Amino acid sequence: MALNVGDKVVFKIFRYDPEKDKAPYYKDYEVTITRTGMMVLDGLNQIKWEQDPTLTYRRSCREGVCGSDGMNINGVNTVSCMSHIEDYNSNVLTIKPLAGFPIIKDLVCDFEDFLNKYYVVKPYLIEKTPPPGRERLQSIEDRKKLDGLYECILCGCCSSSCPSYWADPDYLGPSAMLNAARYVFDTRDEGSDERLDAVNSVHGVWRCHTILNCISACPKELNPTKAIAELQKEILKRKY
Amino acid sequence: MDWYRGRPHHIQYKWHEGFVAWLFHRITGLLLILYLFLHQWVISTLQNPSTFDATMKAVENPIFKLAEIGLWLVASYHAVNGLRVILVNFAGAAERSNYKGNVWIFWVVFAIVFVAGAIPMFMHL
Repeated sequence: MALNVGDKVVFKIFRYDPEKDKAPYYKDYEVTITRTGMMVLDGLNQIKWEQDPTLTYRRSCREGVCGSDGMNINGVNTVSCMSHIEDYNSNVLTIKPLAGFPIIKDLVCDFEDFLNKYYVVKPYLIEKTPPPGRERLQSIEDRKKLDGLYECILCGCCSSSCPSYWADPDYLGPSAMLNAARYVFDTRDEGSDERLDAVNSVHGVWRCHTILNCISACPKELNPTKAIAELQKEILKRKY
Repeated sequence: MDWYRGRPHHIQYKWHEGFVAWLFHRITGLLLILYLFLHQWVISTLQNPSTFDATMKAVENPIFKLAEIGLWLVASYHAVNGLRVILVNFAGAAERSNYKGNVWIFWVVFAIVFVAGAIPMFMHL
């Protein structure tokens, strides 16, 4: 569906202010298309700046790098700054906060639990041998192994799309494990054993039921299911 | 701050192939556990001659045989989809380019396996 300048699209937005509202509700806003290629975030900005300044959502870089604006648009998690309004082929966009995360206000979720799980996998280079004279070099081939792993922006879209993550409050989630894989498969890193120990549990890699929601959700087009499968293989390789 | 994770209104997600395949896998898994208990119970009634005849008569009933085809439906789905899950974990059946198509391939395989097994069962109804 091609949208022309001047067309109207209804944004049906989840609103909840715990200090005022007893329960969440949906409020409709009319967004006017002012130029071609408008993103959902542009529509949200238009609402906040011109219609209702009380609407609350996170955003920062508006180009898919900071990972602030993860939200659920028409049933699928994505970052609003990377989704074209016209790609949804609909006159109504239903916008909700990320499922499975505690809501602070409107579309703003509490990421504390999500980030604590990220720290569990030790997302930093662990060194055991003293550094060489200048820097730790890596071959082009070894660097290529990290493609599809290092790009994660921690927007929370994958973990929030995962039914296992909704059901099990202790499940590390696809995002944390994709980041575990990013260091486990880094040839410069020497902390793989402790990282694999951290994810080798029923609340780690073995909780993944290959529902594949994380693949369809990831706005950076990464593959957390595959990363979890690679970790499972790595754990089995070390044991047998 | 009382609208925490797990609240039903908060959890609605768009269906897609992998999600549906997993949901059926979970349902068929639970049905297989239920069947296992029923199976044990039926076998336990075969222990003495008087109940043996009554049980065997019930088992020969066409309705029971239809239920057996239902069991084949449940078991063959769980087995074929389980094979897909193994391939996702160990053979890269979940690349971005193929993860939805692979589910369809396995649904077709499941349909063939089920029909191939169900035809002889229908003939002996």
